[in-house]
Amino acid sequence: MDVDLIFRIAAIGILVAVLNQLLVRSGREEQAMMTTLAGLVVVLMMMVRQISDLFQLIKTLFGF
Amino acid sequence: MEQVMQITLVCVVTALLAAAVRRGAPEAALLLGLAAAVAALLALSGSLRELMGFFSELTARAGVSNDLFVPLYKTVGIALVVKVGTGLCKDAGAAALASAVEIAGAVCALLVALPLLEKAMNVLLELMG
Repeated sequence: MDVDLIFRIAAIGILVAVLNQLLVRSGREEQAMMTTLAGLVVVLMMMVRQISDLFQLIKTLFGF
Repeated sequence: MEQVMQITLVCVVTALLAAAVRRGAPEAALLLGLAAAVAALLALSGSLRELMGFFSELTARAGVSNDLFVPLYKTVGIALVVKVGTGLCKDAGAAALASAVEIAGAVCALLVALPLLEKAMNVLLELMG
């Protein structure tokens, strides 16, 4: 099982949350927003392959 | 048995992590849920393959055409995807999207089962006339 991926995503989430708080507290809301978006995109890029693997598996397994 | 425990543990730990992350970055919590769901289902692939192999052997031994069972398998696959997708949408607080996914799943399942329904209809028509 790909537990590493889950922990990596959790780490990125915590990092983004902390960065977000720091940037918001120092009055840079737009940069905080950008950080959140960047984190989101990075995590999505990491997961796209897994999701495509899952759909491929379901397709082959259930005879689509 | 071992696999169930593994998957349960991973899901529970992920739920805890998601609860911790949710305050700061709610979207990361959602992605965590998605990642855990995908990982758990991918981990099940071996067992599912074995089960499907057994079922196909069973149908072959029973002498029933495999065409009759393919829609059934496809419906199971659709149900799997729709169930997880609906849950994720609900987690994100988008109940409307969840119901859209459900409706799409129902329509696709009916569409997949259409050949079976047609066959049943043909049998009925033959019997009647």
